[in-house]
Amino acid sequence: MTTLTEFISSLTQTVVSAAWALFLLTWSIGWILRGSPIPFLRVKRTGQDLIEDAVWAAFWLAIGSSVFALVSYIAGSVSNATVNVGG
Amino acid sequence: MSFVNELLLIAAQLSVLTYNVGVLLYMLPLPMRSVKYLGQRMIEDGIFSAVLISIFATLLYASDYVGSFSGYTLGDIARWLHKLINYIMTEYMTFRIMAALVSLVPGGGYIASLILLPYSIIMFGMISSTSLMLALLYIISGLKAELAALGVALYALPLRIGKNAGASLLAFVLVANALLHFLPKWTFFVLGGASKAWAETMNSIDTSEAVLDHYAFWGVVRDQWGNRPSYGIIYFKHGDSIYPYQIYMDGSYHTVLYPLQPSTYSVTVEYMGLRLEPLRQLVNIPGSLRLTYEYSDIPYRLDVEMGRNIVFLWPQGVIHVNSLVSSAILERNLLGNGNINSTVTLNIEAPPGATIYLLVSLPRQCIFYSMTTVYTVGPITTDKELRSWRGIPVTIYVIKMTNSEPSFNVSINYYCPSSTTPLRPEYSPPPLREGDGEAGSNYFSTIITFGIAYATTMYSFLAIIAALTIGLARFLGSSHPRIIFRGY
Repeated sequence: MTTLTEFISSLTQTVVSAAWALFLLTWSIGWILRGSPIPFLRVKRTGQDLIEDAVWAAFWLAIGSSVFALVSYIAGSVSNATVNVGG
Repeated sequence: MSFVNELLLIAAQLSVLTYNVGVLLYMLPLPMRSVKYLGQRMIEDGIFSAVLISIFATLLYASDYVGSFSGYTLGDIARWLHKLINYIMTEYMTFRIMAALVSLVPGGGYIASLILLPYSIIMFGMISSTSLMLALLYIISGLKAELAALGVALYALPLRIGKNAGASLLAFVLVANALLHFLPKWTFFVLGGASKAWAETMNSIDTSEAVLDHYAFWGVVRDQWGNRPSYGIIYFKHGDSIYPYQIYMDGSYHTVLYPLQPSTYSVTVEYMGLRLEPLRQLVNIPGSLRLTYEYSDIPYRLDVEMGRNIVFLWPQGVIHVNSLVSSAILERNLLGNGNINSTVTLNIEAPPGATIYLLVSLPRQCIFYSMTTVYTVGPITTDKELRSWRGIPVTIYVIKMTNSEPSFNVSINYYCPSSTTPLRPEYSPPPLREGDGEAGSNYFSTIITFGIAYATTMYSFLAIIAALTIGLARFLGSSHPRIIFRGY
């Protein structure tokens, strides 16, 4: 079972590093599209969207571990309270 | 590490993976709304499955807690279903053998098969519905934590592969675990209606013996100050039947060998030749029992507390006063020769001028030493009575006095030789229970109506479980809930 959990966590690490690489890619593609000397407003807006999405996703990626810590902290305190009251 | 914890660990890893894959999808440099939408949903899934993992134990606990309101344990219900299925199988076998005998007669085979066909259909309905329930019960009681953890792990899989299955499995375990406790109540409810509708035909089947379970419970006997009687006898009396149980050296008793039927019983304790009445004399079984799970095979507990006029003495003995005792302090001093000198100081409340009787009952090798009182008038008389209580020689001291104050202190000194150990009284256990009731006269019409109503009862209960499972699975986030079985 340890091998399975190790496999999943290595997969997670791969996904995280791929996501960071992808952030740079998406962000630069976004700026390329936005700053391209083409007078098409749609292309520029797509570029703007890509930049925004990339920044948001980078935000979620950065606070990911904090989110899980917060969830387990809140749920843990709620569980303890419930079990103590009931039992 | 247990299998449940391993599954939960995998689920935790998977939820982090799901979250990060969601972020990755959101980050893809593709201007496609559907991909971004999937990414967002997966971020939410990761967070929600982390919540589920964290409150996993609380969810199971809540489910058990709801179930405990029924007053039955899953073990009780398994025993009850076993009893039912035994009863049904015996009936069926008896009928098959009778039919086989009839078919030996020339031409009897046609008659036998004609009768056998509807009977078999009903019997198969009863047997299959009961065994389905029993199988579900064993799955739930044996594997509920494992199945729930598997559900959470499936839920946490990335790309929403197992979200439906996981939420459905988790919901099924939680709902079935809570609801199966209520199966006997549902059966009483529905079959009770059936027996009213067909009162003439239904009254011949005695379902009470098969349906009502006998209760095994344990408890502790103690006085108001926490002293316990070593080796007494506790009686549960209902009508003409009296069920005595031994109280052990630590003051506890149990009814495992002769469990009691549900009813109202009056409780008395016999100790050192005295009949003592507890604070709460009438108990209702199972109403007064507490479901504590302190021992998994005897989940019920019933403590018996004596009133404020009884003090149990160490090592074996009791004081019975005909008025209230507001405090009792028991002191023990080890004397030089190894004997133990004990002093009990009682604060007794009684109106001035009242005559107070103290019955002090001690094993004969212990010696009543002296009694000192404060603020007491009138003559103090002491009578000594030698008795044998179930093979134990006992001395009962009857002390009679009159007081002048509304409350006063009495100190009673006694000492016991170092060799004194609590003695076990001779005790005859309660009589063995009689067998199950026999089916009565109007047999066939009864078995047909009962059989149809019975299968309907079981399958309708499964339908209730299924409906609630679907509801809970939707609540847990499954868009197309699946159920493992169908009750209809």
